[in-house]
Amino acid sequence: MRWRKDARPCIGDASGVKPADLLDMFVSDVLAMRGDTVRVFTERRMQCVGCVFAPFETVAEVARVYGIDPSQLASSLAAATGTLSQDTRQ
Amino acid sequence: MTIGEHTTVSEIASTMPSSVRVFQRHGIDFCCGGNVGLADACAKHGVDLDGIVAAIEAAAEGKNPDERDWTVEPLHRLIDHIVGTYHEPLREELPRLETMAAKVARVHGSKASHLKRVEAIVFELSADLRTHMRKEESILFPAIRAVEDGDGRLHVPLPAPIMVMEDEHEYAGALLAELRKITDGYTTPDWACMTFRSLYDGLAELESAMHVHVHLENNILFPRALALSPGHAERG
Repeated sequence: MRWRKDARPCIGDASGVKPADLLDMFVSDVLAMRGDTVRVFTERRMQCVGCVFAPFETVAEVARVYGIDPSQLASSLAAATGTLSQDTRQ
Repeated sequence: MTIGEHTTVSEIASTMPSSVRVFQRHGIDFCCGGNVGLADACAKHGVDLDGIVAAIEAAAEGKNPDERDWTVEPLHRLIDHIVGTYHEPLREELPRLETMAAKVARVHGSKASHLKRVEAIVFELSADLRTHMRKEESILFPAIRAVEDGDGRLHVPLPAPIMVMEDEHEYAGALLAELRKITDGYTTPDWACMTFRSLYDGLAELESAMHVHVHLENNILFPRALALSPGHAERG
């Protein structure tokens, strides 16, 4: 819930991003990253997409909210950032 | 309402606000952990069930006429009450507690080692609560008001933000429980100075106000707001 001073800004091309880095990133930034990070949240029935608090909560924090292992969530997100070779956002 | 052994503590606290004092007297959690039957809560705390029912009913009879029934009052009034009675005083109180906790840890930390941890918890709680209140006041509460007013322009889905707020309440509750434990129920040693005593008094008051504050949000405001919002049945 902390408004982290050290939270990283949106980095768009996130290929090679490490899971540990993702834990402290805000969810909205992770959702905006290249790669299908949205699916990682939706397939776990997490309601982060469209949540008004997505810009204020880190990945570690939402893992706690949904009772999900933070390191597994971060690993899946890191894997997803490398799943698409092209930026599919318009 | 008729209180039975299976009536939950949070239901009683919601419909009979005067019961909160009775629960506080016995250390029974009526906010985050209030979703348990009264008989089970009594067994856990070694409290006589009939005795507590009698105490709750007696408290309700001597009811303060200013105590409003928040289960039926408009949500915007409940929000105003929460902000005015709990949020605003917290913004004044938290920096005061931080200053005292830092001073007491600095001066007496070598004699009572737990004071360093008290200081760390007070600072964490203070930062967390200030951010938390800001999120509620600037985002969630306006969204709840919009749902109540039927203002479709401001519609945002409520279940996920409410889950986040409930999680933060639980985290703050865990920090307060740790504070109570390490301070031995806010018992000051004989040698404690005035600041030390004021700190513990302030923390005990913070804990007690937080329990009512969180109860009003978790058990009354949030369920009522969800019931008003479209698609509330989807909440998992």
